Amino acid sequence: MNIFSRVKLFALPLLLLLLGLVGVAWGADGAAPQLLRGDYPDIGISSRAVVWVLAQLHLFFGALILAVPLFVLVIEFLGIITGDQRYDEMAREFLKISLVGFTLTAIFGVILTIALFSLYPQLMGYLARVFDGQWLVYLGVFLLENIFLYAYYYSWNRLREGGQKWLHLGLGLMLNLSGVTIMILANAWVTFMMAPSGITTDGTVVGDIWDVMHGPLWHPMNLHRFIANIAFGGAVVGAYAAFKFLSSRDPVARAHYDWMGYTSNFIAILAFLPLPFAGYWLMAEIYAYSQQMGITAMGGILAWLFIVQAVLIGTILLAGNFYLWSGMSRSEGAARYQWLIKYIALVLVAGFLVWVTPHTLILTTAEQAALGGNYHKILGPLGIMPAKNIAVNLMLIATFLSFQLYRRADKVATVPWAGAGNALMTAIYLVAIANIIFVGVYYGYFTNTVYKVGSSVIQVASTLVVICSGIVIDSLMFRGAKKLPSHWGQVSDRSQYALFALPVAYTWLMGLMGYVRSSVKTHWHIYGVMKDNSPDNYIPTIGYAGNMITLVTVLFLLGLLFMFWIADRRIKA
Amino acid sequence: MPNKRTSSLRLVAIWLGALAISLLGFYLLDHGIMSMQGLPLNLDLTPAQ
Amino acid sequence: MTADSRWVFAKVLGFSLGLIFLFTLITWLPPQMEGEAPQEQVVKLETLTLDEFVTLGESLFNGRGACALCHQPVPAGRAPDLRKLNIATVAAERLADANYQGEATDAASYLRESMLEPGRYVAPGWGMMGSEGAIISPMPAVDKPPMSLTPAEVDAIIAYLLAKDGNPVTVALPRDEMR
Repeated sequence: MNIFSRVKLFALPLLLLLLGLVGVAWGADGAAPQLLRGDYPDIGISSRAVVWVLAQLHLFFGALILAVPLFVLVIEFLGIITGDQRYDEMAREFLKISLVGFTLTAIFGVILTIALFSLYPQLMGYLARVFDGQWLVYLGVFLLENIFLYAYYYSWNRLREGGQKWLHLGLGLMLNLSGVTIMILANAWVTFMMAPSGITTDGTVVGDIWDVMHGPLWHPMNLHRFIANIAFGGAVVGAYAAFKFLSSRDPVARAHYDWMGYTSNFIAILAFLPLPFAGYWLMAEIYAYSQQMGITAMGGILAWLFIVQAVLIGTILLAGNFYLWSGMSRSEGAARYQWLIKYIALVLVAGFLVWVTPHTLILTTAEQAALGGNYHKILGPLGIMPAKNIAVNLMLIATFLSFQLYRRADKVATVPWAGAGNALMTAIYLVAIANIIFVGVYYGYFTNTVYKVGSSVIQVASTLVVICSGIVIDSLMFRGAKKLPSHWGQVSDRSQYALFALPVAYTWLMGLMGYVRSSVKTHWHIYGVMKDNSPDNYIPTIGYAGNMITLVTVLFLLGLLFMFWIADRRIKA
Repeated sequence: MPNKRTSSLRLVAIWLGALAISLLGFYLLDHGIMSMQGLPLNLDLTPAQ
Repeated sequence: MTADSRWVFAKVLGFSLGLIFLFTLITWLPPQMEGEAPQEQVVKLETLTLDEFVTLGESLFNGRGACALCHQPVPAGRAPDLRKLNIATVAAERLADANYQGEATDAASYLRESMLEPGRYVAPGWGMMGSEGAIISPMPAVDKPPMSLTPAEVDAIIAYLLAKDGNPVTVALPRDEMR
């Protein structure tokens, strides 16, 4: 083991232990502390900014190292059941390039912990008390995760044959389980601050640790972060593959990295498709917990943020789709489907424009008089949720169509019922789209709020029906299909830039969502229970947030470059 | 011996059938999902409350 | 790195930084609003006039009470637009409704009941689906967190709502210390 690993395994947990003990000692008995401005340590710069940077970097690298082992495990498993050695090699390569990520996550985690306990000692003392001995559990699982990581990675070649391969998979599974456990433990702390449970209104703990952890936002946050991590991880390793593709001249290497990039994009976009629904669930639970918190997020001061989010999601979808369309050049059979691409592009652009349309316009009195109100008569209705729900569902269906066409490009169906199968698939697409639009317009604009909100579930279900039936019909219809020639590596250099746009947009989007998550608590450390009286107890402007997010994104990029550089040296050695 | 007219009739029948199945399926989906949430619909999909 | 990969690296880095800059730029375009934390205010009860009480109620309505967040004009409003409606008229309508099961007798007591026990009566068309399938009120109780309004603050808001339409204010000025 190298010096990084030794430090990580022993020193860092000890440091965490020490800090945890300090925190517990500081916390008073009973209620949550009510702080005055003077109670906060002053280090000359914004404490919030310091914690923001450290927390975000910890989360970026943390998301990466949670995601990568997940798809590494799946790909290794695919390698076993298909018998194709290349899957096994790609799995190992994905893990190799993200190894340093584990160390970086741990380093930022420790510095973050030091910052939190030094800059917000009373808050951390209270939280340490509320969560009882849980930080010990966190430490223990963290140690376990490290052990499983090293076992999984270093035993790869030794545990290759027969039954031993299944043991190796078992190690990978344990690595994943311990990683996910770490995440859901930390998610409980974060969601407790937003929607506390298991305590009275003055902060005294009345339930057990399970009551404290199991707040209304815990599972929505767990699901959202779990899926988002996978999409994010796929996007990051895709950037590595794209870079190696562009810098190779050797056709064999280019073919290999092209395939790697395709797999990464596949993971990034496929995991992305259910994300809006997980986010919707999270938002619905926020509204159910506190109407004010929900409205602060979407109808009040943070509303414009979701317009910025639309730009980022538009970038992600356009990049992912563009990569798929470009990839059609790998196969000669793709020419059949070229004509559909402009319609998919049209749906994506139109959907994006609707999504980006704001509802409330900030106008001067003169402008208000000219317009006759705060809302534009024609564009105003496009600014509210029914229109946005229609837009996002159609964009997701369009993206899935790009996927489906790409997957079909190198095959010709030979089953006798192919005609009927295509008729059914087309009908499902058309009726789903019509359903989404009808339901969105009718229940969204012509019935009451209750039906409006309920109709969004129909829209989600319709999109899921398209995706599931597409997968099922295609897997049945292309059994024994005739394969047309297709060549890995036969793709434009331009297409690889989509694989850089994806991680950049995902990273920046994650930062933006962190700004929302923290800001919906407004002037509370723990919502409704412990007021924030620090100098930073206001929601910063979106421009300030943009600057901070850009800062952490650039820092993360530098960390990634370092990670890939080390990986390259490992591969060459 | 199937001629052009019967095979294009067959084609139309297949597509209409596919459309019918999809329309029925989504109609039932609409009803099912709304009633699952305690929001019943009339047969013409208008709110029943 | 070879010369080739160095050139690729420069292009990729330039592209990535350019995209990041584009996102940053977009955050500078919308209105730049800061979410101010509410300020603590001490009120001198001896010299408190009715007008000041009403003004206090208005600032609570728009600020710490968080009322204005939901009680907005259609279509954004998730609750009746209290600023536009004539409170006395609407309260009388609600009290006269056959479905009304509460204990209020006039506008002031109806308002107080709506704020402290919102589940008592749901104004027609403004309810939401509860977990047991019945229609419930989405209005939170204002004396609970995060608003945690004191009885005097609730009275101030009632005073404001009655006074704004020119209706008689039937709540008393507070006697006890209030913040």
